[in-house]
Amino acid sequence: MSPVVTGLGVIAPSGIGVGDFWPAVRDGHVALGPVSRFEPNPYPVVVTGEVSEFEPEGWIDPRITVQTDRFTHFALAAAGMALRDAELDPRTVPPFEFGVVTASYSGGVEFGQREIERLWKDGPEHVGPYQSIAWFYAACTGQISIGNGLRGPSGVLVADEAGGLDAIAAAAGELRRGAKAMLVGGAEAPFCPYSMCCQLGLGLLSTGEDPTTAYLPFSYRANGFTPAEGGAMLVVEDEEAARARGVDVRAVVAGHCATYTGTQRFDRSAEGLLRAAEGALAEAGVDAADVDVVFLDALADRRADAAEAEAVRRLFGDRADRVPATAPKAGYGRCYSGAAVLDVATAVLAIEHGTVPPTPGVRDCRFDLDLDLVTGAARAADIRTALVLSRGQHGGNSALVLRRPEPIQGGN
Amino acid sequence: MDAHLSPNDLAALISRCTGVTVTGEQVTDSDRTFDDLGVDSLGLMGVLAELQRNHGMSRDVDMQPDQSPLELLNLVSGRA
Repeated sequence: MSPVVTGLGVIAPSGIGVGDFWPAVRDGHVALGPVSRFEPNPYPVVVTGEVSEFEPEGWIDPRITVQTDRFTHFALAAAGMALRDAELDPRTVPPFEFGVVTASYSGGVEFGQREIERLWKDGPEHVGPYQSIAWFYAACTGQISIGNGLRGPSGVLVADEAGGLDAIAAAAGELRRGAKAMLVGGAEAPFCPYSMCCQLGLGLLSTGEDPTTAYLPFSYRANGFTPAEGGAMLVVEDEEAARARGVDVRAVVAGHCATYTGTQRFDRSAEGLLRAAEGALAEAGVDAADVDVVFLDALADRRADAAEAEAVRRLFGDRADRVPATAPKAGYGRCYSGAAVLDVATAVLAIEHGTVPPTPGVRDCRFDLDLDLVTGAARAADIRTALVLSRGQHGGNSALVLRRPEPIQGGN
Repeated sequence: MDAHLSPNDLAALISRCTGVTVTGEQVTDSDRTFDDLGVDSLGLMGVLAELQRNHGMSRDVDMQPDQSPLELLNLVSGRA
């Protein structure tokens, strides 16, 4: 039994849907810009990655729109796109064999900001009842499940940013235990003053004012990351079930591993990422020598970048400076638990197109890191195995291995 | 109490609070419950809170989704 990706639904500052997202990412387009979702003064972060084109109308049932936060609007819309992309009508799958797993980091903060303001300005009776269900981490899983009639194994992972990869592993586990299909991913909408204050406490956000230079991971000018909203949902199915219904198998979810090394201990994250990568490759049954591209976590903090590069060097040894590595998120920002899921979606597209998208904006990758960071233009590559790395601010390190599906032998 | 609240006003208030599109005609149909309209218990709670805050409805009023908007209208406008 192999879990395989059959559908992608992406909502990112770079584009809504893979048709817009992939060309923008492939061409290294920078989709960062000035904060517009709240009055940025007096907050020091002035550049973010916003999905400025997205409004819930046309995507979400109006009665669900009023009950839910923007992060759930993203997740519902992305789930719908993923199902269409996979050509999968959920009504054709037995409901108890189709589940949903999402990762969450911020929860429904924009909705919560509004209700907290009502509480303090006008009193408790002015807080709307939907606050009870809109804020919480499981809102996306719950609404996707209800909206699509999915009654299979479901859950939500609040496991820092790396939870995006852990959610995909959880979905793969459910397929091994008998589920036929899973919707899996994560989305974030972390732009309101209350949420921004929480993020500022991390001490890792870029205060750069120029969107083209605010987020430059692995460069000499790296000075923090740019936060983003958005995320992705994937349809992951049992390979046999996918082949039986005649759809394209896009990539195999081959291996995963997670480690924990403590809050903001980036010196230790080198060991943590290395062990996660080794564990994921072992589960996939491949060697480090088989890896054709690495999607980097890319915190754009000097110590964190150095630790990640160290993990890559120790994983690949002498080959480290010849394995293409990239951080496309430098072009659209870091959307917390959605970031790694977008990287997985990008990795699937990279495998399909035989193309490694660049790390936008970066022209001066640090020499001491010994990375083959793809910058400038996309690079053609025959990708059979992709490694995705993700790290949380609070010590989670995860790795996921995706493999190109083998052509069907003797098929017609 | 708000004797001036019309069926159309209540319909607009329900739509705003719950996202469910409701017409004045549906509000005056005694056979149509909140359940029938697709307004769930949380949505109804939001509607009642809005009427209590801004339309002078008593805080003692409680309603269930199997009751009708017409019953609510009569309560608010003092016709009950």
